[in-house]
Amino acid sequence: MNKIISIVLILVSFSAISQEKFTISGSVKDNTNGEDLIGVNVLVKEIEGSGAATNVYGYYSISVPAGTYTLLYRYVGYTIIEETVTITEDIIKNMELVPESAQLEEFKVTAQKDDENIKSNEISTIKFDPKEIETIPVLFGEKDILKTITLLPGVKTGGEGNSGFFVRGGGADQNLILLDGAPVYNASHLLGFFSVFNSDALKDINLIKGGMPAEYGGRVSSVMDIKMKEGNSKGLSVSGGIGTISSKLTVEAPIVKDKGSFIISARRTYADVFLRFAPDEGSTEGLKESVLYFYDLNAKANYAITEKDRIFLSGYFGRDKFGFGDQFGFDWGNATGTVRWNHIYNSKLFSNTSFMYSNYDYRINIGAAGFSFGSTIQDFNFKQDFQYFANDKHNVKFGINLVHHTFSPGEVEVQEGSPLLASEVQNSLGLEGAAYISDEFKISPLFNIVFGVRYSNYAALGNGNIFEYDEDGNVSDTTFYEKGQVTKWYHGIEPRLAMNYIINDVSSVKASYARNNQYVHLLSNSTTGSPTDIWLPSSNNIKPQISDQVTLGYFRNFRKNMFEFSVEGYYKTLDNMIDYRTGAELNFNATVEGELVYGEGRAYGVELLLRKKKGDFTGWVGYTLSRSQRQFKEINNGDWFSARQDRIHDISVVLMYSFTERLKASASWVYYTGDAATFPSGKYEMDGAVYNYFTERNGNRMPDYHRLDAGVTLYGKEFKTSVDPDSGEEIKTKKRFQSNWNFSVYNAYARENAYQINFRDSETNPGQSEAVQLSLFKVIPSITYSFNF
Amino acid sequence: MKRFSLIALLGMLMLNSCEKVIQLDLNDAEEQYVVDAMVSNIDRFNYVKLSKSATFYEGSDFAPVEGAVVTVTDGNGVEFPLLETSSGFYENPLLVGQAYMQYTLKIEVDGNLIEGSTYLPGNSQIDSVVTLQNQGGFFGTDFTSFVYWSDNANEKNYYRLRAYRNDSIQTNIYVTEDNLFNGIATGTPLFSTSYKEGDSAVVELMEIDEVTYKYWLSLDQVSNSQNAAPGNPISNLSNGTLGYFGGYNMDIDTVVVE
Repeated sequence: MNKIISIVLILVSFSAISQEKFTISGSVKDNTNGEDLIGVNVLVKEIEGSGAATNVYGYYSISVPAGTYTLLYRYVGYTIIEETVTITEDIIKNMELVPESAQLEEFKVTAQKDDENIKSNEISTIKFDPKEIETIPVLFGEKDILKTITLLPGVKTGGEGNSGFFVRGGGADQNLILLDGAPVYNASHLLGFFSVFNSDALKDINLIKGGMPAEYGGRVSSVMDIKMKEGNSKGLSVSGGIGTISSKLTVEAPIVKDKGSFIISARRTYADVFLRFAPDEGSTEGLKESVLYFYDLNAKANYAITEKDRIFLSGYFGRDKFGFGDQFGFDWGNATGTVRWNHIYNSKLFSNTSFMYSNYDYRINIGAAGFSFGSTIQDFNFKQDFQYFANDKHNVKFGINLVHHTFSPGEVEVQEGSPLLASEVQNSLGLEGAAYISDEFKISPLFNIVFGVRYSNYAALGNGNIFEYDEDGNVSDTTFYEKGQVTKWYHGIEPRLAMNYIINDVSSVKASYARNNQYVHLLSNSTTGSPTDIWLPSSNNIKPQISDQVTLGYFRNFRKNMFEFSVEGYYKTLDNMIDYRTGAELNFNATVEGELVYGEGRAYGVELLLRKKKGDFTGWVGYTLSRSQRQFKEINNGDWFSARQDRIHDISVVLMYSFTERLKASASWVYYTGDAATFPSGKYEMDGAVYNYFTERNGNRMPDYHRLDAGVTLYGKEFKTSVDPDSGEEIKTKKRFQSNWNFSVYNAYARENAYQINFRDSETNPGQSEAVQLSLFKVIPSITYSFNF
Repeated sequence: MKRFSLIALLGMLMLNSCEKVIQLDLNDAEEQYVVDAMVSNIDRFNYVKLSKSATFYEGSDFAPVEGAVVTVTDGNGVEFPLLETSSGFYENPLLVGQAYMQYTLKIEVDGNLIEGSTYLPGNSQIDSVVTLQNQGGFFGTDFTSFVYWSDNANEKNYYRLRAYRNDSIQTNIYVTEDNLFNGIATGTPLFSTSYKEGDSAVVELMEIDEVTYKYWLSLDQVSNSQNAAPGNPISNLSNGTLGYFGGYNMDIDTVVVE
């Protein structure tokens, strides 16, 4: 044994002596607008398997022995840059890449190596550039990343009127949605028809369905990490759109050219503007006074103080308003803010310090009766991340995270003469902490692993009475805690592992394992979700939700990476899931925890994806075969039952075709097994009315869902042609003002998909019961005009 | 507090939503006994109604359960045997509920024993019933009734409200508890019942106990097809029998809509 150790030591020290290494580090940006480019491959041609990818701030670092090398900067959609460097010391190499579309056509480089999906160790990860999806048809022509992402395997839509989504059988509250690092608690606008994300302000979307890297935690199903654009640091640019339901405008400009920039993007819907024109008589009398809209505002600024320090400020503010004169008002929204400091300690150590604030609240104002009520969640969040580019084999990330949560589940404010008293449900306070370390280890050019561990904990802090409950959910014991006293403490170790073995240039096998703990939980008394759903933290009664997931995937590219194919299987167990007792009152209930029951879940499935990324004809076909089930002692006699989102088959087909540079068409078709639902097995009479009798939770199925959307985008001329007066040659110059028209149709063949099914007495044949299906949409056409300059 | 069905409202307002009757393959559960039983301070609201459940697609002539032996016993041990005065309908003219009294129900039928008990709480009084015309917009121009009463500060109070339009009983479920209005003059609109000019609006304010409240609350919830926890309502009857036995302290008021 000792012998082995000494041999290893000798080998290590030998390699240390013979291989004195230097680092090449720097940042990579887009040369047209100065945006940081994420995930650019920086390769050293002479050393096989060496190289690095830029991090989310566009920063990279590579270690090489002294010598002369050819560096390759490679990024999808951009021209490859080759650069020869001679290394005798650490150097900084900042690079700007040129997008293909910004070039004159003659110079377009088509030799594009595009095998990121094979080489990267990311498994179960979906990446989106908002530009990639801009032609995919959507409801009302309102580009929406949350809707588009559900067209990929493993991600299921919450359904119409619900911008929640389900990842691999998990619940809608099990997705961590981060906007520039700040969690967004309610991602829906207009009761779920739209997401809160204005795609014009977004730069990069990363959805991780399994094998989360250790830097992420806090939700058991997925992480959706959304990065806002930094703003154009080269010059002023303006873009906007006018659509059927909303308009938006984005302005970007440098603060100091190449050193700092800002972006402001605003969007507002105007359904209510049309209400102003409603005749003020008959059935529409008074409709004028109705209010129904949402708006949101994204803003971000960044500034490089020194070569090594950069500050970012970003914020989001969005609000939905619904109401009627001063009689009734209902509004809700999120606000987030982030202050971030990037610092490069040395060529190998990159640091990112962030302070974040998130707020979600809703308020319902019954002006007619003189009272209003609402609820708030507020987070203060500190995060310190380090990335240490140790050497060409190890890339280490470590850091800590601390969040202070304040949950105000409900409070009532009153005016004189109100039928209600002013009251407040006791706030819940908590401190959530985490520390992590992970290492991306290139064991060989063909085999690399990312392994890490996250340690998370949650301290529920006292702020009054803490209840204990008996079997039936009645309060059995009450203890008073001073503000700030720890009432309950949970902690857990979350191991993370992802492996990639590259079989050859066109295929690889990947596997992962991850455990996640979740300390905050969403309570909803409706299957569709509502702005009034409340979040509750873990407590002496609510244990943290825990998931364990293993995945195995095979990735294969065909025809020179023109086609990407992948198949992934997963198995996930979920502990301490939450459900409700029948008759649970979730709002304004100080003893709401007594209304909850706890159980477990399991989800498993296979996801297939075939994607064509290049050529005039692009798109993908995805198929998921999966199950998601739950088990609760109190429900269904303790037997396993299907979760609502247990859609066994899920198919999506997305096709995009460029007829010419100026005319692009797209279509998408989705099909999925109807949601699991509880239908009556009988009926009975009570106090003069007929009610339904149920025997089994989620033992039935909604009708299968399918829908076709299609759209055409017509672009204005991109280039201006003129003749060079000297040579007589034609010159093409890019026009500054670019615009396009998008025409789309949602639900093209008018399928009447079930939004809900009501079981009730027939209107035409009283005494006879019938099942009545409500469909929300038939064909919805829309037009959007977009521009930028 | 009334739930506003915002999504449905939006659907009607701006989108081309549509409803259609569909045929679904439903399970047919075995027939179940259904107990609709109440004691109250008002003569005609002291009865036990026994029926059987039906399968969903059968007609709604629910079979009455005849020949049961039904007894109500009050907290002082006084037994009231109930007689079947019409098919499946049991009553005893001597049985009139008293405030602050516990009642126990016992039903023997076809060798089955069904038991349950309820508490008839203190008396509630309506202060006034007012009808107001809606101002249009989302809410239309019909009249809505508002009922006002004063809550007793020293008790935990649960209420059920029932409305009639002229002679027809409105089947919407309204229940509330004094969590947010303990000890003050309070009131609520009964939105789901709308009136036209000249109608008479009858409102019953019924003070109930916690189990009766939970029964109606959960029955209302499970009747909503979007409910997150579908199932049968919470009952105070033994053997998982459908229905409940409730004690009501009632006050009735009538106004003419003008």
